[in-house]
Amino acid sequence: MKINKIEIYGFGKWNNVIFDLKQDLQVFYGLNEAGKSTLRQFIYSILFGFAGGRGNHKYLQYVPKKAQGAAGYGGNLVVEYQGKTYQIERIKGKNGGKVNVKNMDDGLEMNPEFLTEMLGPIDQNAYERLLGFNQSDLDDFNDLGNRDDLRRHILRMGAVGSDEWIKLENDLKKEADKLHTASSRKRDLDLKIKQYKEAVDQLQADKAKLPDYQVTKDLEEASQQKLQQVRSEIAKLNTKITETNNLINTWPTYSETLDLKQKLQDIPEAYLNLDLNQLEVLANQIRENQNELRNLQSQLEDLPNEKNNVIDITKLDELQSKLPEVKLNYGQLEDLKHRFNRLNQQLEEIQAQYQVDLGNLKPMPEGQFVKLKDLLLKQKRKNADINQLKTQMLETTGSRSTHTNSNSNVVIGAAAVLVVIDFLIPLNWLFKLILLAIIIGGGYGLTHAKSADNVKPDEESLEDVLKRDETEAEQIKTAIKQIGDKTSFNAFPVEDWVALQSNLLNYQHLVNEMSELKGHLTQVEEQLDTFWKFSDGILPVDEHRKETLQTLFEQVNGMVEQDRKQQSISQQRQLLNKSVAERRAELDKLQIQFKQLNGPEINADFDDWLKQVRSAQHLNLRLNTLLESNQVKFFDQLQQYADLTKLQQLQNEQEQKLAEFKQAEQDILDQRANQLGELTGLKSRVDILAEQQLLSEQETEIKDLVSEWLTLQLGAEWVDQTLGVATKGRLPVILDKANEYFRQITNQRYQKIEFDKDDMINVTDEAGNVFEIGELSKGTMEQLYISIRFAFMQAFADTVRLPIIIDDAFVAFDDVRLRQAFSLLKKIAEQTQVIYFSAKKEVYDLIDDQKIINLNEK
Amino acid sequence: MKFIHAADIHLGSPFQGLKNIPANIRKRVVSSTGVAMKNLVQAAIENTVDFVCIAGDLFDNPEPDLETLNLAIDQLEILNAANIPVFLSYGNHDYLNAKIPGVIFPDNVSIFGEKVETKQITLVDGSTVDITGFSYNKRAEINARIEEYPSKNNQADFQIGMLHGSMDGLKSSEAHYAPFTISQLLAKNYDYWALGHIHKRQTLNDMPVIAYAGNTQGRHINEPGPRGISLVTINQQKQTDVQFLRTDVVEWTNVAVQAQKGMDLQQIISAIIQAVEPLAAQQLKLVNINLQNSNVLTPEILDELTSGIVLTQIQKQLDQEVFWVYRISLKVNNNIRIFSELDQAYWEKATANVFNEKKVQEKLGRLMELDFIAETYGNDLELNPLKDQVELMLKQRNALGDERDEN
Repeated sequence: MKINKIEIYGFGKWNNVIFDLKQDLQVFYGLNEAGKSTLRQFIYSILFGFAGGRGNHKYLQYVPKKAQGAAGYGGNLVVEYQGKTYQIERIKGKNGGKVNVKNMDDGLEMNPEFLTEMLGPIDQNAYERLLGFNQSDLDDFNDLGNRDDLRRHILRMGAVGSDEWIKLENDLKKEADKLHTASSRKRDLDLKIKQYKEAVDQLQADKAKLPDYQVTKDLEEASQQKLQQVRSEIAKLNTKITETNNLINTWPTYSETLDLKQKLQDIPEAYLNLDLNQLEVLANQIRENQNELRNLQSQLEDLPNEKNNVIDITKLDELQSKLPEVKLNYGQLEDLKHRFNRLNQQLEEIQAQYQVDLGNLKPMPEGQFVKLKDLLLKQKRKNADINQLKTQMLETTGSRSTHTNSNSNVVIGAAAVLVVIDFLIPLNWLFKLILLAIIIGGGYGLTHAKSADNVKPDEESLEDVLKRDETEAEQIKTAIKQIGDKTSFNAFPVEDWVALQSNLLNYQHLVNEMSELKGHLTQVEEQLDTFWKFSDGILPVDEHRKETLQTLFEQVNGMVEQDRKQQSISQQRQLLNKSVAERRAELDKLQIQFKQLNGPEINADFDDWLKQVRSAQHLNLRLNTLLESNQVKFFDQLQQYADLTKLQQLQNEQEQKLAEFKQAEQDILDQRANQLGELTGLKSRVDILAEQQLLSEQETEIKDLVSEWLTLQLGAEWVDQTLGVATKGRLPVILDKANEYFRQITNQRYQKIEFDKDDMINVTDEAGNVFEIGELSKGTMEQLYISIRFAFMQAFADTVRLPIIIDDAFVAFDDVRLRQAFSLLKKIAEQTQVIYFSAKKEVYDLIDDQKIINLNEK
Repeated sequence: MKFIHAADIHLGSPFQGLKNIPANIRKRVVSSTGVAMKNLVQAAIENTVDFVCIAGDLFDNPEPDLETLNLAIDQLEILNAANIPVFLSYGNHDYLNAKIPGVIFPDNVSIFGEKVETKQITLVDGSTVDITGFSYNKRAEINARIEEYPSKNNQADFQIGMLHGSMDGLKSSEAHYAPFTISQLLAKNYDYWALGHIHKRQTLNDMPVIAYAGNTQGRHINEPGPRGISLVTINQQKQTDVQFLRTDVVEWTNVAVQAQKGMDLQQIISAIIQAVEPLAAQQLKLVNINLQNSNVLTPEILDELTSGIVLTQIQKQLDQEVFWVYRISLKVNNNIRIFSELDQAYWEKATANVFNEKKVQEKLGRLMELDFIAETYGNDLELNPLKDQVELMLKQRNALGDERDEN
């Protein structure tokens, strides 16, 4: 395919431009930014589609800015293909743009697949690599310092994109080499392997460190056996120590038992089982009964003997009943006598006032006495009046005061009489009171009467009055005399008459009273006589005793008392006798019971005996308790030992021995613990299974690394092989062309390139000298590379029939070589269209101006 | 007659294919084979079996460490206490040697010697069982020991053969392990063949049953899925019932996740988590994610995937008690076009030059001195995954530079 015309509607900076291309070599000249790359990309894009919007490709889209290019995105290429002209148009559209292919000759629209047919088995990528050539390709080649690498490079140029493949191959190898090389020691994989090998060794060492099962088992068994021995000794010793301890513990019991037996040996066996409490109770009861009996008997003995009564107790009782009355009688008698004497004394006292026997006188009758008294009163008053008158007549005051005195005397005298009466005459007190009232009233009347007398004087002359009064007084005196004559009172002065009257009345009264008392006395004395006669009939009393009634009284009471006592004693005796009988029966019963208990006699020693046996029984009880304890079983053994110290000594010896064995046990245990600990420590440090697992993981890691490494290696190898195979496959096709180009570019200095079976490359110069590629100069080698490269391009171009696009590939060349290179391009362009982009002005010197399109001008 | 057929317990075996796992998971991993053994013992007791057959490889190592030995002894002791006899033959991993002295095991354990021998047991119901087997005395047993097995003893009610080995032609590399053919086994007329050595559970014949019980605990991704033992019941009519009982505590699982074009990182992470989460089970799941079609992903995403960032994210987001996604394997379903179409023929031509055992081993050079590398890249090397991996790497590096946004 040849491109005749490029028409751009809009693509990057290009808008509505048309480039007409020369058929063979077309050079586009343009400075940087002139649009060379855009143009080149336009060609690719029309052929292979617009770049996608993703990744780096989007910078290759060159979608025009909206403001520019009304014609829109895209353009067309007019190409010559198989003798016909076609227009390939690509405008905006899906999947790389809308493509129209038109046959320019007949104007027919072609099927879009026609473009694919035209392009053949090639995509943009391949196209760029196959038919593109630029400075970097040369640079890459020149970067290969090693001649052999150059040779290899040449030998791998025969594939699409060999250079990049070779680069990748090298990268892969480098990457692989980072992991591991045939001779490396310190790369990642090597280090891992080293670690792995160390781990394997470690595992082996650890395995070796661990004793095997049998050794461990033997070790354990040996120590177990020793341990068992020691432990059995310890067990035996422990048994012995327990025995000894038991003996020691039993010792107090044992020795107490011996002691008790000693103490009890004299006590009859039978006593030890006696019921002492019962015995004691019985003994006490017996004793109590005995005491009681004795007591009763002594009471009986103490009872007074019974006496026969002389006096009939009933008469005695009668006598006793009369005694109080008698006593009263005696009292009366005394009293009466006393009163009589007193009355008699009073009588005598009254008598004593008078020389005459008052017994011969009789008191005035009452009426006379009252007249007398009245007369006496009148006399008195008259005398008083006379006196007064006389006084008055004497011009002095009379003395009348005597009257008052006499009146008072009357009253007092009456009172005195009354008192005597009262005293001597046992009168009713009411009567006495009346009497007293009469007396007082009398006194009063007297007083009043005297007052009435006093009023009279003054009217008569004193003389007259005196005379009349004296007459009257004489009259009164005569009246009184008369009275005295009628009675025997004349023997006595008138003044004494009133008193005499009273004394006579008293005397008479006393005599009467005394006579009465005498009667009483006689009566009482008679009663007493009667009593005494009765008393003498019962209880003759001494004549003296009769005087004292008290004695009798006491005697009678005593006798009655005695009689009562007598009776009580008798009753007591009966009771006592009955009690004695009862006690005796009780005692007999108790003694039988006591005898049945087999106790000893109850005598003075009994209590001591009881005490002794009781204590013995206590001891025996203790002994039995001790003998019942389970310690008794050790007694037989204890008999071997004289005392406790022997046992303690034995115990010490055994315990010392035990301590030794225990130490031995501990030693074995320690030893075993050490061994086991060592083993366990080893086990814990050495976890074989985990180590194995870790080792396996290391293996996996190494495998993965090896796999990664191998993948890189094989990838590189595969690429290498492919390139080699492709190159070798294509070499025969291009060899003629390569020779031609090599001759051309070296100005015929070299004639021939040869590839031998061993992948060696030789060149022959014009003189027929053969050089190994390694012997060539760097420049010659570059020329060789370009020759072969262009030969391959020519060959591919034949296959794919697309123009060769070269992008300023020779900028580093000097003028001579540049000219040579361009001469080669011209030669190639004879067969295949070459489109050359350059930023160098030199192109104008190398090629016909007409074949240059100056992009700067567009 | 009821018994347990177990094999390949591999006590003390590490897990392969893990790296940088958290300590708690390592703990579970390290103890897992032991726990599986304990589960076996519990199953025997719970099911009141008459006896237990362990057909080789009780231990992972002929020189087991102390802990591992102790664990085995303790567990066998539990069976002893439960009066359950154990018939034990050693395999290629724990062949007869002084480091596993027979005397250490309790009395209920009968160990087969290096010569084929028959042990007899009378069951509670009075029936008699002959059990025939042998133990390895070296790492490999190239001889077909089957000829030494006697034909069925008709005196016994049942006869069981215990054999640690592989069927002829099962795999050429397996011919080192007491090879046999099914017809050879059938010819013995036994009532059951308790096989060991092959870790994948499989039944080779139904009447009588000839079977591998599989191992009791998977230890790498090539032992995926549930692992356990067989509870075998054979009645007087020789009707055989085989029941699978799980013993494993950790399960290896492959989970395929489809990568879709245009997926971003978060979408990939959630796609993976959504695929993993429903698998939650009692056993800790060690998950390998096969990210299918990873070539459709952008180089950037592939970078994140290979750098381990995605893996770390997923590990963080999933419950570590239940899941541990230990790897995301990028899988390529179609050929990735790396080179230009023009060169595709050369590219493919070069493949054979690169992806062959010799070339790979040559590349590895002294790395092949490492056993596990030699094992990985040794014979029977699968080259396609390797090629996929390389292509993906190249794709990741975007060897062809810009790739046009097509479509």
